[in-house]
Amino acid sequence: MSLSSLFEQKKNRERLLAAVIVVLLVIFSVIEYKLVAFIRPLPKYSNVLIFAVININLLLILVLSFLVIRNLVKLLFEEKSHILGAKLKTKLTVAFVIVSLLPTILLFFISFQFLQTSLAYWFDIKIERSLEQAISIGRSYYRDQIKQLSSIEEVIARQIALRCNKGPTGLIEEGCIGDIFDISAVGDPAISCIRKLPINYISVLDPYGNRIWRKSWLPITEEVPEIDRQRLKGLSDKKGPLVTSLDIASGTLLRVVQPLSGPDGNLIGYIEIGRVLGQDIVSQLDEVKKGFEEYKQLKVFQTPLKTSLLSTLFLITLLIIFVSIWFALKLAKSITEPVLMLADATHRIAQGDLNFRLDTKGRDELSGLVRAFNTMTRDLKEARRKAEEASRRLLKSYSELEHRKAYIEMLIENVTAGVISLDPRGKITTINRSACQILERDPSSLIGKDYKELIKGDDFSELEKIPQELSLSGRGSIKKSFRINVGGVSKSLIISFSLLKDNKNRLLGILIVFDDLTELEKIQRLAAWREVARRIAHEIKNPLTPIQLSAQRLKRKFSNRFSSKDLEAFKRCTDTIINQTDELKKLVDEFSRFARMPAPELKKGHIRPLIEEIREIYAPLVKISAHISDDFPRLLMDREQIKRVLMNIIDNSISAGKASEIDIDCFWDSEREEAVLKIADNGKGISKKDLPKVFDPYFSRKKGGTGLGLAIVKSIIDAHDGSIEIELNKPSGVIFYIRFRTDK
Amino acid sequence: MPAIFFSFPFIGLAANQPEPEISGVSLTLNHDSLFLSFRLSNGMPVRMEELIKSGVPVRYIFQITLKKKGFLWDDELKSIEIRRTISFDNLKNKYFLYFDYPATRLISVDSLKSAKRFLFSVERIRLVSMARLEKGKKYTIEIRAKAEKVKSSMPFSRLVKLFSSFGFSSKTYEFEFTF
Repeated sequence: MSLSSLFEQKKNRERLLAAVIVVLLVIFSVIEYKLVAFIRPLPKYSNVLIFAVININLLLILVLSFLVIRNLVKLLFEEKSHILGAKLKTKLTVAFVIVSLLPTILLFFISFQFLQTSLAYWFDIKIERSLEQAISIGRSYYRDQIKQLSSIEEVIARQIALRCNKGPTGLIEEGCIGDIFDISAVGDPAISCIRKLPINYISVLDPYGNRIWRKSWLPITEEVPEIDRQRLKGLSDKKGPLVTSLDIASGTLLRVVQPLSGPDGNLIGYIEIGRVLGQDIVSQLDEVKKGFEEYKQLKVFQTPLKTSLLSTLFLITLLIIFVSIWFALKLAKSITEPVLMLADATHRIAQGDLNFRLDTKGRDELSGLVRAFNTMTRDLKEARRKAEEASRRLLKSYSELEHRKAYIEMLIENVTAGVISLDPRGKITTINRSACQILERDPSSLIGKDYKELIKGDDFSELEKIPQELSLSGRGSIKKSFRINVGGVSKSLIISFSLLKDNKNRLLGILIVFDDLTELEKIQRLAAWREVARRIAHEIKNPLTPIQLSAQRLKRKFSNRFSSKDLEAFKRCTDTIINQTDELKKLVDEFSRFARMPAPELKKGHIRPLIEEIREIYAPLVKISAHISDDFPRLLMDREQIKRVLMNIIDNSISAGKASEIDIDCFWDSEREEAVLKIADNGKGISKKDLPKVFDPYFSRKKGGTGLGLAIVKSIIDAHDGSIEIELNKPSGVIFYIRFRTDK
Repeated sequence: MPAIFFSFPFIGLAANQPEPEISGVSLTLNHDSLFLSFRLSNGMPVRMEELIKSGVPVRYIFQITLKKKGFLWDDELKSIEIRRTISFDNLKNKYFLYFDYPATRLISVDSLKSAKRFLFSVERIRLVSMARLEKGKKYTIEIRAKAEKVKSSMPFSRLVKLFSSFGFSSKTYEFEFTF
C-alpha cells in the first residue's frame, strides 16, 4: 500500500470520528434537554453552557474509553501476534498508567474528603451564628445612630416650631433658624445645648420639599444633594422618619428626615439632619454586611456549589487521568516506535536494503540511537560499496587471471612442443595436447600419475637419471635428446627439463618441454638426400654418356679383333658396361628428378579423367577399380605431378607388393573437410615397423629399387599442402590416404 | 458516572416550585388611551427569596407587546419592557425597589410582602393611544416575565452559574381582545 493511500485512510478515519462526535453531541443534547424539560422547564440560555460541558465530558469519557480500549485491544493483538516491541509497549503503558493513576486517584479521594470537610466547616452553625450576631450588632449600631439622630431631630424640630413659626402663615422664619445655630449668640441654655449636638448637617425644607435653610459642619465639605421630593410625600404617613445614606468623601452621611409640625399640628416643613459615619466604621459595617451576604448566598447555593466543586474536582481528575493515559500511550509509543523502526530497519538492512534510512528529529537518546543506526547503515553501505568495488576488482583480476591462464593453457595446448609439469613428488600435474600426441597417450591416464608412466620400457632408464642431473645442474635446467619408441615407432625428441621455483625459491616441480624432431629430421634428411642426389646427378650423369658411348665404340670397333672366346668375354664386358651405364643413367635420372622437384603449377581440375588415364596405362598390368563419389570436389593440383604420385604408388604396389588388384576410392571427408584419395592394394604389404620409413628417401625393400618413388610422392603431396598416410590393408596389402585441403 | 453530569441541570432556583405565571390581566380605557394591568404570581421562588435576602439584587423584566392581528402576520403596535429591581440591605434591614417605567422611582419597604406587592403588580401601564386602535379589530397582548440576577459578590459565582440558574423566564402569555 502506498504512503498516500495510508494518509487518505487516516484522513477518512478522522473525518468519520469528527462526524461521529458531532452526531453524538447533537443526540446527547436532545436527550438531555428532553430529560430536563420533562422534570422542569428551564430557560434555554442558562443550559447551553451546561449542555456543552456535559457533552464535552461525555465525549471525553467516550473518546477516552474508545482510545484506551482500542489501544489495549491493539496491544493484545500485537502481543498475540508476537510483534516486536509489543511486550515492551504493554509494560510501558501499564507502568505509566499505574504511575499516573495511583497518585491521581489517591489525590482525588483526599481532595474529595478535604472538600467535604471544608464545605461542612464553611456552613457550620457556629459560623452562621457568629455572622448573624455580627450583622445584628451592625444593625443595632445603625438603628442607634438613627435613633440618636431622630431624638436630636425632635429636639431641634421642637425649638424651630417653637421659635421660628411665623404664626398664621404657617411658614418658618429663615433668620430664626440661623440664630438657633449661631455659636456667637448668647441666649437660652436650651439653644446652647442644641449647638453642641453631635450632628454634621442640618437643613430645613418647606412643606413642598424646597430647602429654605441648611448648615453643615466638618468633615462635610461638599454640597449635599436635596432629598427626593417624591420620597417626602409619603413621609407623613409613615410611622418613622425617612432615613437615607449618602456616600461622601469623608465617609457616609446618614440623614434622617422628619416632618415639622406647627403648634396646631399642621405641617410647616421638614427637618433633615445628618451625621457623618467615619470611613473606618463604615468599612467595618460594610465588611460585616458583605461577609454575611456572601455567606447567605453560599448557603443558598450550598448544594450546587458542593456539586460544582466536586464535579470540578472530578473533571480535573478525569482530565488528568485522560491526559495521563494519553500521555502514557504516547510515551510508550514514542519509546517503542523508534525501537520498532530500528527492528524493522535492521530486518531490512539484513535483507540487503542499505539505502533505507530512519527519519528522526528528536534530541533524546532514542533519536541518538536512530542517528547512530543511520550512521552505521551509511558506513555499512560505504563498506559494502568498497567491498563490491574490491570484489569487482578481484573478479576483474580473477577474470584476467583466468583469461591469462586460459590463454597460457591455450598456448600450452596449441604449442607444437610437448609440455608436461610435475609436482615435487614427480606426479604429473599437467600435460598438453602436443605431448599426448607425441607420446600417443591419453591425458586422463597420465594426470596424477608418476612421471615414470610417461615412458615405458628401456627408454625410461635415461629419464630416471634426470631428477638427479637436474639437482646437480647449477642452472636448474638441462636439455637432452632422446630417441624413444612410441607405438612401435621410433621418435626423436629433444627434451628440456627445468626446475619450477616460486619467488621464494621453493621447489614447485619440474617442467618438461619436448619437441618431436622426427619429422624435422626427415625433412633434413630429405634435403640432404636431395643435395646428394643433385650432386650425384651432376657428377655422375656427365661421365656416363662418354662411358657408354666409349663402351659401344669399343664393342663396335674391336669386336672383330678378338677370338670367339675372347669376343664373347669382350662383348659381355662391354654389354655389362653399357647396361650398367644405362642403369646408372636411369638411377641418375631418378636422382635428378628427385633433386629437381619443380614447384607445382596448380590448376583446378577434376580427378576423374586423371584416374581414367591411369587405369588405361596400367590396364595390362593390374586391375584397377575406381570409385569417385559425387560430392568429390575439383582439386587445385598440378595434374602431371599428381599423375606421377598415382603412378609411383601403383608402381610401388605392383613391383614391391606384387599386387594384382588396386582400388581407388575418392570421397569427401566432411568431418575434416578434406578430399581423400584412398588407394588400397592387395599386395603382400609391408612390415609394421617399416611403415614410418616408407616415405624416407632411399628406403626400399625392393631389389633394385631406388627408394625414391614414395619419397617423391611425399614431396609432391607436401608441395600441394596435403598429407599422405599409409596403413596396412586387411587381409593384405597397404592403403595410402592422400588428403587435400580444399573447398568443396 | 454520566448520572453526575445529568444531575447538574436539575439544580436550579425553581426546583419543585410552581411556575411563575401572569394573572389578573385587565385592560382599561380612558378618554384617549388603553391601559394594561396584570400581576405576576409565583414570581419569587424560595431560593430566589433567599438569594435576595442574602443581598443579591434581582431584576424583574416584564416584556409587553401589543399586536394587531393581521391576515398573514401581526402588526406590532407597541413594545414595552418594564424593569424592576429589588435589593435587600441587611444592615438597614430594608428592601429597596427601583422602578424605571413609566418613571424612575425608588421605594424602600420593610417587609418582603410589601416588596412583592410593589414588584409584581403592574398597574395601568399605558399601552397605546385610542387613535391607533380600530373598532372591531382583533388585538393580541403578549406578556412575558423574566428574572435575573443583577450582580453578586458571591465567591465561585461563575462556577455555580455553570450548574445552577439564577433566574427564570416565564412562558409568553397571549391575550386576545377585539376593540
